[in-house]
Amino acid sequence: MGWNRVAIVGVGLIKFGELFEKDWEVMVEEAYLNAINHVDKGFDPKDIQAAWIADCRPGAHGTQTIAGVSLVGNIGLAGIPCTHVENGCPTGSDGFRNACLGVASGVYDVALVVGAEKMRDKSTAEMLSLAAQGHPVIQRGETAMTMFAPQAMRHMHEFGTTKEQMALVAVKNHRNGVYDPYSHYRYEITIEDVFKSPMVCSPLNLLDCCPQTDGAAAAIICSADMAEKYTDKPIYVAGFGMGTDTFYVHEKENFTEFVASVRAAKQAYSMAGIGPEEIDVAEVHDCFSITEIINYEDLGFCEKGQGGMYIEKGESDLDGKTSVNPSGGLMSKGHPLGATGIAQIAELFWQLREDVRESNGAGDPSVNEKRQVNIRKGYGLQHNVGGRGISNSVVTILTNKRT
Amino acid sequence: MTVGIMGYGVYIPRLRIKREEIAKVWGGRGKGENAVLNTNEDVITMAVEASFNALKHAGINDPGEIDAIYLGTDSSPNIEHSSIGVIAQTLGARQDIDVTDFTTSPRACVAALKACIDAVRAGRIKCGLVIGSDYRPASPGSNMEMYFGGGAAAFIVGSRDTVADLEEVHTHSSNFRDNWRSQGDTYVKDYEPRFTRQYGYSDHILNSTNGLLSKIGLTVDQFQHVVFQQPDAKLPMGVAKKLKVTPEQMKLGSIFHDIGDTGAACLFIGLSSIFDKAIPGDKVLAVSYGSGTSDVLYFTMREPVEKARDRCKTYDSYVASKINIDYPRYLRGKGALAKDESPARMGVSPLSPFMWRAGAELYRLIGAKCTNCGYVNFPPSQRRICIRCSNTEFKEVLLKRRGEIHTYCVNYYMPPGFESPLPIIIADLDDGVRHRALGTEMDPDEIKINMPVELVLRKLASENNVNLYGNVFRPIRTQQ
Repeated sequence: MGWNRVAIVGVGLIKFGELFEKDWEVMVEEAYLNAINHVDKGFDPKDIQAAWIADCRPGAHGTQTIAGVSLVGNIGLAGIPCTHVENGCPTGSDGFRNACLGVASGVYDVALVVGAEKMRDKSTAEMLSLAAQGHPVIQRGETAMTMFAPQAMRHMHEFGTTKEQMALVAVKNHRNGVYDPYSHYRYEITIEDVFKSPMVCSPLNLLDCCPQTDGAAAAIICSADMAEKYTDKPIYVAGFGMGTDTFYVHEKENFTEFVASVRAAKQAYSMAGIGPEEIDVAEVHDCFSITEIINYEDLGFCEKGQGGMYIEKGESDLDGKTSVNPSGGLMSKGHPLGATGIAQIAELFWQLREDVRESNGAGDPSVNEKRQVNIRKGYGLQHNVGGRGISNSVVTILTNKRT
Repeated sequence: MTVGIMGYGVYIPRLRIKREEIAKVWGGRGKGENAVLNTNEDVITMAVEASFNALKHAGINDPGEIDAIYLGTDSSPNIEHSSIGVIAQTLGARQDIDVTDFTTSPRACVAALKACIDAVRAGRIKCGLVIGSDYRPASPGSNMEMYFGGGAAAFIVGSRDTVADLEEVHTHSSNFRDNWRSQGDTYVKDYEPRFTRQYGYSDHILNSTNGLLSKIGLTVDQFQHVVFQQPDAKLPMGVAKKLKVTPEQMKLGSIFHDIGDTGAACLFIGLSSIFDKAIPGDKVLAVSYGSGTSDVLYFTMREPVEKARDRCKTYDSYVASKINIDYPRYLRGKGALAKDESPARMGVSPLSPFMWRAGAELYRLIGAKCTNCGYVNFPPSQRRICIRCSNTEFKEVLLKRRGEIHTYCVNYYMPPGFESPLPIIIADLDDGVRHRALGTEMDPDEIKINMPVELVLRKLASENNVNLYGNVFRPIRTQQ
């Protein structure tokens, strides 16, 4: 018996990509409208009592002001409370988690959570200037690459994980992305393509990495008791967890797992009252190929050290034991930080309702449906991990079962 | 009171450019090579490495024994602002010591040494650290570019267990300009060499040397070793011939062929090379020259030199440890070839109070060892609660500067202001403390998990011409 106090009744996405023609405000509006216009029984925006905006790097888009009002003030909802959440790569999922806490508290019945990120308005060099931020000595040169690549090195060293196995993650997620109309990239790649792509940060080639993507996603949640007002097929929040780890890289004890993920997953499984074997489908953080391999282990899909074999055996394929990243993941769909976690939740919403075919009316249904996972036990898992020192993770478990 | 050198240490940068590489670009001919600096090295980082070697050679474990730090250099990063602050903090020196920068001439190290010896003789200090560290800027295509190299050497000066005693000094000085660098000049300039070689270098050295010899009543053949300032290969040969100094006497101190004209470090490095092999009782003559002044120093080798040999990283070992680079790579190292771009702005400026608060512990590598669980928290100023057990009592410890790589990566795409490819190393130090730092002098293909590495001070960044320093990992360079 899961937590199930909060239900998702609508989600909205925009097509992720290099959206040079769209303001941040436009992305936010489109995701929001997409959500409210696809609530099964219709939705009146006046029902929204509070909102959360998830945006990780507000300095990277034009207006640079990202207090809560930058959401509600731009979508005609000025007046209601709105809070800005920033929490590294799990920014979107943590925004969702905070909105759930707000609804579960009983203070609000209906809440909106929007995640958005402009990753391409600033030049790549400017985005990489993160390497000069933080502690000038201890974190000098620290970027996402330089935090995750050493994990790959150590995982290869300790468990014999191979470059081929890592490449298989990229191959699988790009294959899935072809079937997702919201995905940034929609083409298949081969292991050879990964190996031939430029070495970015050893041992990771370019195609071991997710792209920089603009995007926005929205979700409307309400207390579970009133979900039927909006839909006959609500998706319930069975549990969630958030874990942290030490701040600086040198303080980490373990470079073959993400301690924050393990902690977040433990809380989420416990709250949902299930184990990893109940998960039909998972949207996990594949910022780099190695990340997904380690996630399999951290989330309990396989034993420690077996992540490489898990992908090799096809266990995470669309028809595998637990399908992972049917949307194409960060690697194919893109990783607009604040939007990512909410987009993952949107994908799980469709997957668990078994209406991936529709995907809110985007794309060709006959193509879309190819990524529909066979829902057997009725649970989906969302996961992000990141932040400085990879010290921050959110796991959310959703279900199509009321009880 | 007999005062002399209690210990010494050299540092020669690992990068070398063959003079024929320079000749390929600009014409002319060149034999031998110059030691040149990596982008992340400067006078300060070289001085630190030489000083650590010198302290070790002198058997000084407690840097609190140092009463003075004198630095002789012609290429300090700043015209106003001492280079000694970072050096002193990295070494762990006391704050009530005497510090002075000696500069404006390639003889600056000798001026510093004389001042330090006088301070010991006067009883004002007991033990001083004197450093010569230099890498003078030569314009691409200039004569000087064919000659200028970089390096450092440091002497511990005192009266106890000296390896070499200073017996006498003599100076000859006049108003003479041969090389100079004025306010606003990027590179050293020189006047017509056919004039300056004779009336500058040669005449001053002959005068000072003959002056010393007559003062002490010795003849030049009574010295086993003679070292001259070495602005090129020929000039020392010329004065040697006139003074009847033999090639045999000059052999150990001749460094120009291997590392170039190291300016205000030259005489110290030459002397160190001699000290490496000289035996007790040997007499050593060292003759500096720069900007119209020549000092002559007369040393006698003492018994302790034999005992200290196994603590010494020799000049020869540094010369042998090298990476030859091409001309464009060399230009990058000295900043003469750079992209026209603005470096990524730092989150914390090197000028900020943050670096003032944290500098000492970051340079020196001070940790806070938890009295409960033993975990070494770093940096101590930010870790007042043990991250492992929440205890709030600590014992100050020094992190070990050697360790083995636990894991790593090499980033090939860094933003402006960074070198690429850039190794990032996570290593377990010999005391078990895990440390993360950039890597340097590493071939990306040769980095391996479990590879031994050592932490050395380097320039990490520069903003508004203010340098930021910090420790980086490099493969173990010389044993000892």
